[in-house]
Amino acid sequence: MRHFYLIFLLFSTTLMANSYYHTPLVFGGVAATAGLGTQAAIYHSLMQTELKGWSRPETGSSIRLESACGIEAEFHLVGDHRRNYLLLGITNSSAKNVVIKNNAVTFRLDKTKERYPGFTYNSSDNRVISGWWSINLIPFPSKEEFRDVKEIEVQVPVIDEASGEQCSLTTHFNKTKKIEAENISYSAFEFSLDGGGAIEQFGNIRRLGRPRGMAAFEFNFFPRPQSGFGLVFSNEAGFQDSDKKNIHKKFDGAESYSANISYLGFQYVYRHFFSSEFFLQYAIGPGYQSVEDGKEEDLGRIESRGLAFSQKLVMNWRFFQWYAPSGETIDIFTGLGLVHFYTPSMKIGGEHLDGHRVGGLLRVGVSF
Amino acid sequence: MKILILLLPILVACSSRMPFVRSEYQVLHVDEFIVSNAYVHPTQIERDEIHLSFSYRVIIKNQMNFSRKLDLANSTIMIGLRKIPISCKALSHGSIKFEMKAEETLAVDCLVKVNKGEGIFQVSDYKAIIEVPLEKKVAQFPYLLRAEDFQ
Repeated sequence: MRHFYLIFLLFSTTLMANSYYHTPLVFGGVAATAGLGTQAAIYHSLMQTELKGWSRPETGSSIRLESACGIEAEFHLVGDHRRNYLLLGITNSSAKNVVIKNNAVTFRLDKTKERYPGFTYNSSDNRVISGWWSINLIPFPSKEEFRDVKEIEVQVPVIDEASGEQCSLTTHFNKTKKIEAENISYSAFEFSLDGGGAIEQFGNIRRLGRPRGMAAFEFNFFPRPQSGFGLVFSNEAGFQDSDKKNIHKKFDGAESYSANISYLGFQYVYRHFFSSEFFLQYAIGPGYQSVEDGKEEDLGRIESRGLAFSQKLVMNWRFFQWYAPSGETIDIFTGLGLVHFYTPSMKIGGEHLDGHRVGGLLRVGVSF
Repeated sequence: MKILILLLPILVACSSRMPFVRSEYQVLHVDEFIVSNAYVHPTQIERDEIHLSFSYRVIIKNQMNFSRKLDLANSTIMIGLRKIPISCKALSHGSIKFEMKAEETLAVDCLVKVNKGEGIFQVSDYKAIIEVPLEKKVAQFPYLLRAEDFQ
């Protein structure tokens, strides 16, 4: 039951954090009236997600203002951990109703490469009635392209609804500084399950025997592409010694006994991407460990709790990527690795249990 | 005791004021300038014993192919029939009087500070108008002030 609550806590934390992290861009792609509530959405989107690598010192932002055919437009570059976007605000001060064709917006990169938007869902045209305004969020096809690009020219076709005549709004963005997080598509939330077995033990902990197996689950949050933090819970169960001896003399000779070690810890995580599919992950941190020893009811159980440390090194392979209709990208990955637990000082029933435990693990995880 | 500690964050949150949205998103074309208020914090307003204050940032682009002079000294907020001076400066160089080059874009930060006495008898909400002078005309932005802001 205790384990169930911990799993629920870790998973629900993932969902809440994801909801908060993506809220500012949820309104995108929909024509809006001049409602007071939308000012908040625009402001918070800009404050939290505007690309600082494209900002100008005169404005402290990426904003560009343009006007043509009675239409005023403002352009911003914004992004989240997965995609970069053009945030386009259109104010129709003309006497005509106009249509913005989102799919016909073009991006000219460094005057050489022309790209169309990277919508992963069916986007409709935006009709902007005379006197009204509209905010559109138009995704770039690739975030990684931003690494080498220094200039982006944007062209937005605006069509007179009545006559079909086309007018074009054009602007230019120039990169002012390189910010790596704006050029890499990465997952921000990760939830993984590990299973494995013991490889070796060192120190007094050997007296507890070797566990039959280990299971663990983790939730990690990455505010930056390469570093993050998280929570880990693991359980090693079924410690057994080959000659049926235990560190507690009263358990000696018992037909069977078992011990299990539970660990709940906080960790710092670093990951290195070799490619978009392969990444190496290293996690380290302190935790709280509980050792329970003994089995048969008439002999009782003994518990001890204390500080411990863990570190993990896992080589991961993202083998599947799913694009949800909502626009979310979900990665499924697997990995192989090593885990090391260190107990600096622990006693149980008067016996020392300090030492190191090293195990191997197989991982399955999901991230988004 | 544990219940009280758990409830404390909820109690603290409930005791703060409701963050009403006060500003409407606008992009204006005035006097051959394009002016946007996208960077205005929609709900933030500070109150002390004597004053209400908030900041208001506009982005201005000179649409013409020649330079033009701006003087922000006469920036005001209009409450009722009264025009109250506010302090506006260019973000990048802090000047009140400056020249905008052809097709230049820059940010102007205005600090609005209003004596609560201006609305001490106010019982209704009011749409104040922030006025930022351009070369020949004025860019106007409505800003909602609630009756309780002056109390």
